[in-house]
Amino acid sequence: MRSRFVRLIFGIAAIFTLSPRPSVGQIEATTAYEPMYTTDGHPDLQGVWQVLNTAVWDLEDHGASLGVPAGYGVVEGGAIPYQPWALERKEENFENRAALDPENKCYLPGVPRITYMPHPFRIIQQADKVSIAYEYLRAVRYIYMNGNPHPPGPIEWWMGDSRARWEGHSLVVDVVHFNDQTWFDRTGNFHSSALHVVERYTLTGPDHMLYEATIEDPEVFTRPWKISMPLYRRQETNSELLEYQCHAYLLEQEWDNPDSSFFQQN
Amino acid sequence: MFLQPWLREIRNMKKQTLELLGIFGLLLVAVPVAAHHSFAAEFDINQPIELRGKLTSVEFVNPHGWLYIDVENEDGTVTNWAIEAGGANQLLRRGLRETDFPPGLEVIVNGFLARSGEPVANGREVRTVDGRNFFLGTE
Amino acid sequence: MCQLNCRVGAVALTVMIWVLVLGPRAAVGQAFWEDAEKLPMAPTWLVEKAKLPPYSPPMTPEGVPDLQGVWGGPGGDGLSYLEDHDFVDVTTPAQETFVSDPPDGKVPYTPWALARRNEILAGLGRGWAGESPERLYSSPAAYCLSFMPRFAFSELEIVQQSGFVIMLGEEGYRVIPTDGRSPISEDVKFWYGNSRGRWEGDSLVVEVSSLNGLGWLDSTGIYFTENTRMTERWRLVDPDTIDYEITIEDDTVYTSPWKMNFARRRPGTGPDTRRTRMPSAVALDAPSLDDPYAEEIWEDACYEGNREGPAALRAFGYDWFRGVTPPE
Repeated sequence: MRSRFVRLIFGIAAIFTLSPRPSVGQIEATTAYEPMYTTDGHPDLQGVWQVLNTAVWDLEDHGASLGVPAGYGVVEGGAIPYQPWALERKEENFENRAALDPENKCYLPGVPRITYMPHPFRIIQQADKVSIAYEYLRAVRYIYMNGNPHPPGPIEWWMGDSRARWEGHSLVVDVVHFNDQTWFDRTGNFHSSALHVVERYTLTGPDHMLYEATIEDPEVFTRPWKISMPLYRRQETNSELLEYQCHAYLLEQEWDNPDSSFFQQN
Repeated sequence: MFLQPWLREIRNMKKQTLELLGIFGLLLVAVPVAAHHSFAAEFDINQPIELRGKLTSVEFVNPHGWLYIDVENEDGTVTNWAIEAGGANQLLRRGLRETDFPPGLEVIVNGFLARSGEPVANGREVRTVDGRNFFLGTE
Repeated sequence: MCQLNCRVGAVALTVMIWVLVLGPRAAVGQAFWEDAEKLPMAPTWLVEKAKLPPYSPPMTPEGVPDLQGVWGGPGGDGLSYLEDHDFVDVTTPAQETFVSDPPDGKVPYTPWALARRNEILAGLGRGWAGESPERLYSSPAAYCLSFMPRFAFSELEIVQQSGFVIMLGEEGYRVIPTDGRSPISEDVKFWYGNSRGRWEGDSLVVEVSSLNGLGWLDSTGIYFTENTRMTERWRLVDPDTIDYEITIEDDTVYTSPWKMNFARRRPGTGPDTRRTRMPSAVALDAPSLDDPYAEEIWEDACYEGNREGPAALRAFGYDWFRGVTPPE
């Protein structure tokens, strides 16, 4: 009887120590929420969504500085698992971020960064594809679900090639064919053209979605790693994607600047 | 007597065109991507040029891709020319990839010289040395 | 004896193959045109449209016309040069005017505004007759900027949802509310403006306000201003054809509202306007007939790939177009 009691204590202790606990800033995936369905019989993810965090500044825990808010990281496990050479390169990126961050040239931000830019986006579902229309740069991703596999590579695109399938209530998006030009955030977290991202979009309530992205890049990281964050449905009755044509404003600003470094060919 | 097989070819071409219209209709009625006409500002259609050289690299981007070729000058020096070519998507959709164009391949370019005086030209026609269209790939 | 005939025939055959088989898919980035018959646009469409029998479009479950699907642009040389013109050079073939009203096919600029338009035309630096030695502006589209109404003239897919009409294209998208909500304040200006749609009989009517006046209607400097309002009408006239009409209204630069009009066809339908194109560096023989990716839109990333373009134009002395401000 005593050993049974001991086993019970150990069992309870095991449950407490071994079950995954969400870090602050993340929420749990739950299949308890039964979403509305489209006429195609899939969860209806449609509407205007936006993140409410500081991931765009820094995917890891970070403090505040002038113009930069503090925030908890969105990386599961805490740190991005760089290879040693890549960690040095990340630090160089950080030191030179004003010159090197592709966002400062208004280039397409890549995936997953486009998701957590501080602008809303709209999800549109059809039989052959899911389209995500972003206010930022008026970018649009066509995520095909028409049975076509990724076209054969090598192909290098800023936003990669996206193909999706449904897994239970989750839209699972597989993205490959990236170039090496984008960063994950404003501190210089970067990748190579071997990047492979798997996103998951899962409704957790009528106005909340869980967004997860697994990042795999054997040339830069020691193992795959994952970020997750809530998406919030914009509540305003007149919610609308307006416009942010960053590159147009930048060209106009730099055009008359004789000291501009923007027009130097690299 | 010569014309009959020729006319038959044309009829067959028309049939094939109609088939192509069906499959490629998506592309047929479209205005080309970025028909932006900075071409005329950057290149001079009154200054045609022919260049022959060895490929050093290709860049598949939109709105127009680039080939870079080493051209030997009369005095024996070599100048690397930038040739503006078709946009990436048309090449990618035909199954071509940057890796299909290895450095060292010899090409002949007919095009128009850039107004800037730089070694840049717009590639009107790009052929391999044996006369095949460069963008059909090296097969 | 065959030698001359055969060679002429072979050359003719080659040209015919180029002309018939190759098409817009071959010529991206820069199309080269030959001096051939005028490409059709508004006048031809008006005649064709007048002969069409009445047509009742299919309806969506919400009881509005079903305009869904992929629709082409105007074809031909598109928005290269908006008014009627003969062959200019290999970049600019002969094409009819887009303008369906006024009947003379010309944009009804006021005298002051026409002088500004002519200044821009003379400053394009394209080697055209009548140009001044000064370079003024290049078309905003040359910098890979996307804006209205140019985006609405491109090939796009219409998707209809309750309360919205969505237009998906290669260079962007529009989400047009049809639920009666008000537009944003007119003082707010956008490249795409702010669109509001409604159904009037068989037509989708879209009012576009809040335009910033920084885009051009074509590549030769037919400009509008931040006072301009545009009204589109989209109407199915047969199962495969949308009649697209846009009214441009701005009494600060035009003497009256005026219209452009052309037919939009589903892919694979309508007349073939490729005929006068010559091949470019991406000339090809017949590609595979069963491309499973034919209906997919692949990444454009024009601005990202055009890096040297703005630098070159700036080095030539072109100024950045900041709009035309009419006098009070």
